[in-house]
Amino acid sequence: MWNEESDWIGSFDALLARLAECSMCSRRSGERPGAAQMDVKILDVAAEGGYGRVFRCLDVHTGALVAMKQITMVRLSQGIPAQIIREVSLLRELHHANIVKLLRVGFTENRYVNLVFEHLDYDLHQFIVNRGYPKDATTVKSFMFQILSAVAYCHSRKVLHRDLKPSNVLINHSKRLIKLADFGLAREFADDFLYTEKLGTSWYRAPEILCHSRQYSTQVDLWSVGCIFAEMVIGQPLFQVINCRDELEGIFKLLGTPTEETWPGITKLMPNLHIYCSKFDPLGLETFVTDLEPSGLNLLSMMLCLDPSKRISAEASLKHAYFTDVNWI
Amino acid sequence: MEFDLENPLENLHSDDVSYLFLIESDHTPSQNHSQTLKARDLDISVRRELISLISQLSCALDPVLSYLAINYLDRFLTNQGILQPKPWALRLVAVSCISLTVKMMGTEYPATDIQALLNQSDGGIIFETQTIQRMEALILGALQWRMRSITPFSFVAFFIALMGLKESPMGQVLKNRASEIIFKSQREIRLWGFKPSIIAASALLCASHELFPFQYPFFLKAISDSSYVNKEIVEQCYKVIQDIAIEEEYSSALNGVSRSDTPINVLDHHFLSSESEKTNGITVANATDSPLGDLKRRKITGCGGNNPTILNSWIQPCERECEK
Repeated sequence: MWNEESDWIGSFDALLARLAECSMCSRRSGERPGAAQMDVKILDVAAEGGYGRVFRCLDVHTGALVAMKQITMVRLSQGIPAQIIREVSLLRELHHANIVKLLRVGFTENRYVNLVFEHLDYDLHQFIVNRGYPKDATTVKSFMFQILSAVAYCHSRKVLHRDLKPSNVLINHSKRLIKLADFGLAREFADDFLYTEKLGTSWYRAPEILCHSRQYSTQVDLWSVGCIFAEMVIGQPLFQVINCRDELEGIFKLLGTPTEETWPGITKLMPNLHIYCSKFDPLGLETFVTDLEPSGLNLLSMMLCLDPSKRISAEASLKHAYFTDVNWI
Repeated sequence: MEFDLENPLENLHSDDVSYLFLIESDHTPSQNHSQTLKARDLDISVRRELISLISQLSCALDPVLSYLAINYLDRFLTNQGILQPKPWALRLVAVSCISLTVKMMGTEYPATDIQALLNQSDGGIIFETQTIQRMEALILGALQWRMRSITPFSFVAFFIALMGLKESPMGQVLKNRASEIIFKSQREIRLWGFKPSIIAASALLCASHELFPFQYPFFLKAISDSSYVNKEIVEQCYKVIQDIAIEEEYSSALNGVSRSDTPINVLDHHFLSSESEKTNGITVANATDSPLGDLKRRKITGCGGNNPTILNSWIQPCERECEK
């Protein structure tokens, strides 16, 4: 038994070494483990999270700045994390100017999965917090157009992002270029599939997810984009401003408690809707989102629409009057 | 509550449709490799064993998951082959393919259950997490991390819409039967090299020929007219699938006499356990037990049978066959 397994593992490692030379896992034999295996030189740590770390690096071949996301596997009981497999698989086939480019994937020391991405200067969250949010209406419109272009592209490729929020929107400073990132919660959608995960950051989570519906689709991303839109205008998360016990209460306080008339099927979806039966009169988006031109407010209201079936799609958003003003291009 | 799902394929936006057709080759076992593999009987039998193992281990899961796991296996085999198959190594490959499928499709499948699958071996071999991790890494690398589920099921709705049967009862019946055909024919190595869209189109044509023979010419034209499908290749694939269906029918009949064919028995059990459940919108019926299966048997005996009613009802198909 021991000999058999030992022998097999030996040949297994040989196979692994050979595979490491495939195009997605570029590597040279003999190099030191770690960053060198990924053909990058580490400059500093850009971010840390529960999953692992993000390093700012130099690409050894091109000299370009890159970002390496390193996920630790050592304590995981389930092998390679599902989030990584999905992120790579989906990004592998998403090629768009407004979606971050995945350059390489590799394993090091049998402990880490390393994802090498193109580098961008900062994310939208940092942009809003540190630079006093884009008060410039043209910048908001440009950012929104790029975000929606990327989302429309994903949806046309049958991919839901499911975790859209400012920190997952990256910005190239000099070009004012937007790129969507972090597809770890992304997944393909199909006609009859029930999704089982409750996910996404709470302030950006669509009401149908908060209602624990397991049957949702592209509309969840549009709700998140709407939250981002509002945040760019007012400088802080919309549903943080509306201070409530939970996110649903905040949503209903802003937009009004739904009824069978405004959201057909809601009483079946939310049997406990009576908890909110104090039936908020809607405060209205205009109460909080000031300084947004009327067509922008109209688009925002179509994104932050309670009934998913009536919510605007990314493709339709791009054709909205808010973007037809030629001046901003 | 049913959302109005946006399905680009059904909207027939050319950009959206062409996308899936463009990338599906990356999710198909290479035809060149399948030629090489066909020459190695050992690997063919190993593949058959692995498929039985995957079907066995994943019988509690959505059938689409087991289909995708087998797709990963096939692409892995064309890339790597299996040099010295040992029972425990085969089990590790099978479980790793299932594990990767579960992760990719986001199904809630507790890690403890996957661990239990690993330990089902009679040999009592217990794999360490690190070993699973390495095998997963090996498979991911071999497949170049292309793990999306681009399978024939991705294309069925599109072709049903082309046939003018979108959201119709006839379309649902065809979808169910085509799905069953797709599941069962996956075991057949002769289908390697055919792209998922070709397999989907051929399965639908087989189903329509079987269930709605008078409308078949219309459906054939609708699919042949599509610029996304090569008519000659569909014809080739159709013949292979038809042969498989015929062999399947004989095997099912033989099952009444002898149940020695393990793969078929395993699959029959698999589909029987799924029969009463709607999984992913697909109702998989066992042809052997269904009225259709009965009809098929009558059709065979009816050509020489004494029952005038049955004979009369099959006059036209019989004549067509005689003309050939």
